[in-house]
Amino acid sequence: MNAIHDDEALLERLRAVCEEVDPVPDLVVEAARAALTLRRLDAELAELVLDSADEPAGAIAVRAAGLADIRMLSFAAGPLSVELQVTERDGGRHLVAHVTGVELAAAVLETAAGRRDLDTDDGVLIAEHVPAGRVRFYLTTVHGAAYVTSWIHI
Amino acid sequence: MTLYAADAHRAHWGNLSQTREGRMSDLSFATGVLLKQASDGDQRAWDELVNRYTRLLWSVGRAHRLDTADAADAVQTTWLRLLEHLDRIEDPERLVGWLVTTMRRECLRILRRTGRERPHSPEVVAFDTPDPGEPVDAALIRKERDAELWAAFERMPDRCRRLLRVLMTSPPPPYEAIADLLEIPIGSIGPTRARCLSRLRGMLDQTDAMPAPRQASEEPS
Repeated sequence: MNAIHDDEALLERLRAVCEEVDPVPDLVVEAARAALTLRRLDAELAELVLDSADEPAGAIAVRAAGLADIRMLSFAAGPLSVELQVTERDGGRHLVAHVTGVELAAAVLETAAGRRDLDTDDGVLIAEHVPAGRVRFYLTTVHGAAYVTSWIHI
Repeated sequence: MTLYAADAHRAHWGNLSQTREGRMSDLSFATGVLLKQASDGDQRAWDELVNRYTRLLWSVGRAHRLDTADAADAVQTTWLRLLEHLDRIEDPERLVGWLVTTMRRECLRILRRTGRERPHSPEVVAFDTPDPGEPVDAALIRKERDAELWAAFERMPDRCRRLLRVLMTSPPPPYEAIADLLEIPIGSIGPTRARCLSRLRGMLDQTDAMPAPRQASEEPS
């Protein structure tokens, strides 16, 4: 008996069964295709550089300080820096972002549900009762530059 | 895009997608073209990328035992990350590896968030129990033997299940991407694959050797 041939045959059977029991849902493909329209071509990407949810050690330190439910994230691009605090409250999310390095003209919170204009007082952005899900900030400066933060899941 | 151009485009990609072996450079060149076109906002090029790799990303999500909602979320996040970095992918040949690595990171994030990850105890019972959220509907499987095969596959240790699950993607991802995904050396993928398939075959033989309960009662020995 040819073992290699057997392996191929078995894998081929698995492939066929998998195709039947676990196809990729159409909605997943449709959402992926539609994502192209979400691109912000005019804005520079502010990458996520730190997420306390990804760092067990940091999370422990925060918890020790009695702030168990606060998640802290940082984004950066060029001179821009965004420090974001996310708190869970009443099933929603409470967001406070401190934007430094640039002077903001406008800020928009983008979610799966839509867009929300935020006040830009002294570079502090506040958004309350944000539904759990994917969000990003679209920021424009008084000098006409635009930034968009990397998508995060809150 | 004119009708003629669209047809030519389709014929071109149609031919390429039929290319299974040998023409890797053509394929990666094509990936580079698709990335460039998608970056310029070409929906058709983007759709082609999505068509090519969504099944692989889905299999990575399932390999991590994500349920449908979480797997869908991780796949979407991965595509959004690619869009964020579309202009920065310098080596198209690395695209698959990049996608798989990004997807894996999203899976781990979700598992961390939902507290389901047990990275250092892959043999724990919870990992071998099918997730109730998984849409593996046994009724869909008409042939009993297929059901047995799938049940045996689901009972396999995590390492085997992950490897085989991504190998089920057609065409399977390059070994470099699998090595990144499973954090094992490329050289051990072949032997692991052989070992896992052999183990699966053994599990099936065992199932075959055991008479089903009903048959046992009908034919007392």
